[in-house]
Amino acid sequence: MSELQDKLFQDLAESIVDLDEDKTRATAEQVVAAGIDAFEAIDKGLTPGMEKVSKLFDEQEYFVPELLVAADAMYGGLEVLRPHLTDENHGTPAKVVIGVVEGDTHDIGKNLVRIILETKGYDVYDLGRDVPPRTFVEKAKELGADVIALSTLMTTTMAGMGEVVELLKAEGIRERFKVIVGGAPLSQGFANKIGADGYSANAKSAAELIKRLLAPQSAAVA
Amino acid sequence: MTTPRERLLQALGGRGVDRPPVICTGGSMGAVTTEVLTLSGLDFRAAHLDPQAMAEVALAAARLTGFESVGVPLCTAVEAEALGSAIDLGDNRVEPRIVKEAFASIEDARLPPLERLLRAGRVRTVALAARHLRGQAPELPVIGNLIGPVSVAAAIVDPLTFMKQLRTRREAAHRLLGEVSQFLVGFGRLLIEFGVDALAIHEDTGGSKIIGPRLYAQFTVPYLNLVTSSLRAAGVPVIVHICSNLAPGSGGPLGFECDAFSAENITSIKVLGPQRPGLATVGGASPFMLDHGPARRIGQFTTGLLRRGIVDIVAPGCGLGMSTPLENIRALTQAAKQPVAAQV
Repeated sequence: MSELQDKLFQDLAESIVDLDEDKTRATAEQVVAAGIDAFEAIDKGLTPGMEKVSKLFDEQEYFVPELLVAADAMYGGLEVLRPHLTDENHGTPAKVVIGVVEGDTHDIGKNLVRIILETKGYDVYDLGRDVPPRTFVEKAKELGADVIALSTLMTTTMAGMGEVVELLKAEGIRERFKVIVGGAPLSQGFANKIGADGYSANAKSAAELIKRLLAPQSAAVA
Repeated sequence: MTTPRERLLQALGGRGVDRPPVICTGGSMGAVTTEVLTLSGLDFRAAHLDPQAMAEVALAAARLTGFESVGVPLCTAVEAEALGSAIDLGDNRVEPRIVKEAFASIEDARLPPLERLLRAGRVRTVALAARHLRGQAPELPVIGNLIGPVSVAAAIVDPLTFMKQLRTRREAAHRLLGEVSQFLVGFGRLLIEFGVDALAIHEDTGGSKIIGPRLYAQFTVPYLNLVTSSLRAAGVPVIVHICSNLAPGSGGPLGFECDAFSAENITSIKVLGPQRPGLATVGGASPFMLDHGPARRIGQFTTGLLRRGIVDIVAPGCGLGMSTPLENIRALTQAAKQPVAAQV
């Protein structure tokens, strides 16, 4: 049993690294058929696979196309395993609302952040690109989000980020959310200037930033 | 007295010049800022739709900034729009942008015949604007701008699906890039027919930083070369701009068929420039520095750049943000126009 389990977890991870969605799905089906815990299969199969892919991405062995195909494989596996998750032993994941601010339709960076966050188990709500500041605020309120993540590639649209922070302040709900910003033209200085909680230069450090920002909160909950 | 037009053509031809020209090609490297529009009282949105208005804005940008070139179009969405993507024209603060790609996947993408595409969207508007500029500014070089094949394809097919399918549907990707390249050759030839002195082709999505060196070598370089070699054969010099670090081993610009290459960062130029002596280098001015200033530092930086002789043609390394202060751009162009002797 345990041997089969280990083999299947390893196959799940490898199928993601090999960018083989069909194999990921088929392996996930085998996990379900063998009555193995779905949560454990995600935790010890899909997640290590995606982590290996992020590592290869950092090392410039994999690039955006590979990361996207790997993410598809992971989503394929998740789709099979999710209906079999029991509610035990894992709390509610933190919610992140993410989008590219209005005026910009470059969303590769934002999508990478979304994928990495999903890999880490966050519940990510993607507003897409060209998103008006008001929409970020409304959606974050509606979902009870923990984090609002704003992305832009263009200097022309940076002002929209400050506007999100201002809207939150005007409604007296600034403290409810962590606001983080990222994108090529930005800097920590810019994040400080507009009153954001953090800035991240790339997708990997965005996940680390969110973990850091939410850490005291989750410690308090636990 | 050398005119800016003669100077740029000499620099692109690898011939000696009295000093490097300072240009901003247009297209994805637009010289139009909100301040230019405010000072000239012109409407950006209208300029995207009407040849005369487009020429006026391009010319106002050159006059106010001091750049020694005029370029059309004034946005990066012309090709994708002609191939069926929906665009938003923006306003005086925001450039036109794609709001919905024409096709969900590479397999779905079928392009109409070339003759129809060359009448689609704003293709002829751009060509007519080039003709106006040729007539109105005989001393300035008129640069026609194209978007590179991979970037255009990623702007007509959902970009994420496109990226994935470069790996998973290679054959279909080659077919689409072949068709897009034929359109770009047709568009480029039309611009030549309407009087442009040079063409600049901008590839951002296809940079090796994004799609990786393997796909870059398989898709970006060959299709760019297909376009540039056809257009050079049609008789104008071609500048290639890649929005990436051109790391050694990435295949470009050493493998590019062009007269000049422009890169986002100065390190790429420093490293790769000497490796292709026949190729003029374009760039050097950081858009970030131009956006943030201060003007004095930009002037000093530009003087240093010329003194060290790193670039043959001074230009922003990437597109200027619309909010870039005019004072900063002028600091660049004024410093670049000082005689070299005075800079030593």
